[in-house]
Amino acid sequence: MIRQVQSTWQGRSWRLGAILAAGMLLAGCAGGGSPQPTATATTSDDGPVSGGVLVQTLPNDPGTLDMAVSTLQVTQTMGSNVFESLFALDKAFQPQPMLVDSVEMSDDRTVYTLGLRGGVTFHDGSELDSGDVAASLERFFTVSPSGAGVAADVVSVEAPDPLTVVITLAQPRHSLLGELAASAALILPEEIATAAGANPLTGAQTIGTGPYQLGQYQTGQSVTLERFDEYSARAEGDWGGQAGMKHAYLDGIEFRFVAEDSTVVNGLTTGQWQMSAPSNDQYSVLQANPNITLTPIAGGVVNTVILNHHPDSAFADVEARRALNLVINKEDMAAVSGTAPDLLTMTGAFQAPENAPLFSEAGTDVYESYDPERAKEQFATAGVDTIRMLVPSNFPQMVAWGNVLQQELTDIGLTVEIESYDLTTVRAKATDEPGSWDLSLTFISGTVVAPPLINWLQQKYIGGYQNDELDELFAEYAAAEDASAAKQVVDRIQQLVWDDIPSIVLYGSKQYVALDKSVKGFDGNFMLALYNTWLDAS
Amino acid sequence: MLGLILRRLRDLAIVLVLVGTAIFFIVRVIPGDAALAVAGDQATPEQVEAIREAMGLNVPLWQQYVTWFGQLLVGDFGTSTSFHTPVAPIILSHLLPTVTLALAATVLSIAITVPLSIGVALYPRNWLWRTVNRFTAVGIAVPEFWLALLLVTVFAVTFGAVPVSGWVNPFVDPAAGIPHLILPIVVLMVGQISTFALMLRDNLIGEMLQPYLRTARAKGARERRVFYRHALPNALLPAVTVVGNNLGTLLGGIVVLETIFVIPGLGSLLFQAVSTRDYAIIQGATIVIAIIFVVLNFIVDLIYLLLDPRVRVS
Repeated sequence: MIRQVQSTWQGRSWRLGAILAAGMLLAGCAGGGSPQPTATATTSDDGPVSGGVLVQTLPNDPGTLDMAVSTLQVTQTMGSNVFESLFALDKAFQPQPMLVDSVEMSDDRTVYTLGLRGGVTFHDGSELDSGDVAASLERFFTVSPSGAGVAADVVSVEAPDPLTVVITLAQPRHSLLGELAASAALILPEEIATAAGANPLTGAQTIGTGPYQLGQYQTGQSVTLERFDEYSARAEGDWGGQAGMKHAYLDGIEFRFVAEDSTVVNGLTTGQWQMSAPSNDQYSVLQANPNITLTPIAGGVVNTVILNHHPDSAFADVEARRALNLVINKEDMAAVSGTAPDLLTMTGAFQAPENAPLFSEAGTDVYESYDPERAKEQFATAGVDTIRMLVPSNFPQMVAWGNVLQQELTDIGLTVEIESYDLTTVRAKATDEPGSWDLSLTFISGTVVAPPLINWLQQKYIGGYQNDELDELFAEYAAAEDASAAKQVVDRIQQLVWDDIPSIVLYGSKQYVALDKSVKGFDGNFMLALYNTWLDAS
Repeated sequence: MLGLILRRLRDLAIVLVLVGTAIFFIVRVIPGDAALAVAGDQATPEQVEAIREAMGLNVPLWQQYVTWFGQLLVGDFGTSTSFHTPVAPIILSHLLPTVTLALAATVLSIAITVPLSIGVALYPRNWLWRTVNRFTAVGIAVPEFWLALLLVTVFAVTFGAVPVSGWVNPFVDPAAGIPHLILPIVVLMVGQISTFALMLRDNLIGEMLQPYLRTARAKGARERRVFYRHALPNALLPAVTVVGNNLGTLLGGIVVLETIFVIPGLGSLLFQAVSTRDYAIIQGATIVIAIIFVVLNFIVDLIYLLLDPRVRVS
């Protein structure tokens, strides 16, 4: 089914159509939404159980559920239960229709005609129409960094009738549907999208089409979601990820903001909450607890050394960048982070293995090369004897990487100067004093939908990497006719990354969630969304 | 009395102007672009600039200061860039847990410390003396975060006698709220009892050796009257200052304990605001803490008036 839909979008004839409507209607007919549980718990022998409130901890309060404005993971985790986009990424990270019913693309791939699903209602009771979509996309283009990237190619968004939206592009953009599947491209009622503008949504404006709606927002303490009984579910039960059928089995979800790791673990142990994402340090402790299940989350992060390409930086010279790659022992870096081996990906890929459209093993030989003696010679050839590091102090794993890197560089006779500040200060210093540093440390999401969205490949990002060949590859990627052609470009981009080394991938690491044994059905989706998850009372 | 109140109001105004001005400039000296912190890594320069404008950071510093101070004079603390709502209600909602904890811990500590110290002073060198000496030494030395984690492990995780963490308003739901308060209050009390007991014991013993007590005894005063009428009030005087300052510190925020016990108090709010460069909350919370200190000092002065005739006369 996934293959069929994907090939339909990316083939020459762009009519995807009413084949999904029947399933949608089947799902939609049941009381205006999915077969909704009542407030009273219902049980079955092995299947899902309706009822109960699941308590999940999050490390901090983002202040909003508005995923267009806030890209923090905590915002996504809460907001993904409340909002939906036109498309959604499935478990293979392929975009699948969510609020749309059909997609038609012109032969030159610049005009997309989207047919919306009928009968979809917002939490305020209003019905989704094309005016809502046009206003929401306009907001997405304005307030979201990824939306601003899309907007550069968008000529117009029109709403010719209540259930049709026409997006016209200046040039083909292969990643468009994936970008419209982003959580930031959330669909709001038109009046809310217009009124909110660039400001984050207030509590009263937190109105989506998702299976849960906002109950109560207690600043700094907790957020409560309640089941949305009028939710209109899709019929596809096997797409996984954020796509397809969504059931709100729980009566409600309570997110509590708990920053301290030991408190998170203690609360899980005593049953005060049922779901958390503790740090890597707690993995083995929790693994030994028979009442807790550990589930890896698809995607994870890619941990990276950011190199500065400013003329005053040691790494303006590609020889120095290659030397640095040779001196870094990536396995040591992974080891000091405390990440469990089964959560690691040691391939040098700039995206996670689950993110199939962007996962590549090109350049793995360069990634795996480790030769400190040769690194010493290459640094000498490049005339580099001092490295200035900017280390974010509020991420323990980055401090540990900084220490290992310092030792490795000192061992081959280089002088290392470390400046350590909180992440906000590091970013400000790197931006305001671009010639004052050589390398820094970061991690990026492993679930990016297009290579140009990888921040350290962008000239505007700290480090200011610019490469004409890369720009040409980005253009080729945008113009790719189908997934296969796009994947070939991805391989070439990653090969270029390991030839020219704009930054150095250390390793990929998955996050995990710890679940009380009563939590069932959670599939490890990368947003941690809790539809299709239930509490087993037995 | 009226003079004292007027002087204190004048002091309050001066302190607020000084603290407000200082914190306004200090937060802007901290490295880190507040607009960039809000916008995130991926934002375009145009988006960062738009946020900077929305936060009022695109105008000269003096203009930002004048605007902010003008708003402050009419009770407007500004809008939080993290929570996107006015700051005053946020601070108010975070003040209740901190005040509850601080007052409960202080009142209970005093209730335990005063009789304990009297017992130690009246019957030196007995078992109580030795026990209190050991307890105070340990109580002062032990770090609060360590004690908190230990108590959680023993009483919450192992025995399940109290909740691990969390906050339920005890004035709305006492049955659910009070159990959540037990461990944080006990942790705070251990430090406070140790400090107060050590000080009060020394004060009492010192007072008992004063010549004016010998005079009182020579005049025929009974030992009970000598102790409770003369020695105890004088020994309590320095304690009032210490208790006042201690309470002020607690009300200013108990960051570590609030984090461990997941209590949405003023300290954790301020800590998060510094991380996110939320200027409005940092400035607002600091001013509220300054007000608390000034008011507490005023209350301490009033207590001095009641306890010490010399202050009344002067």
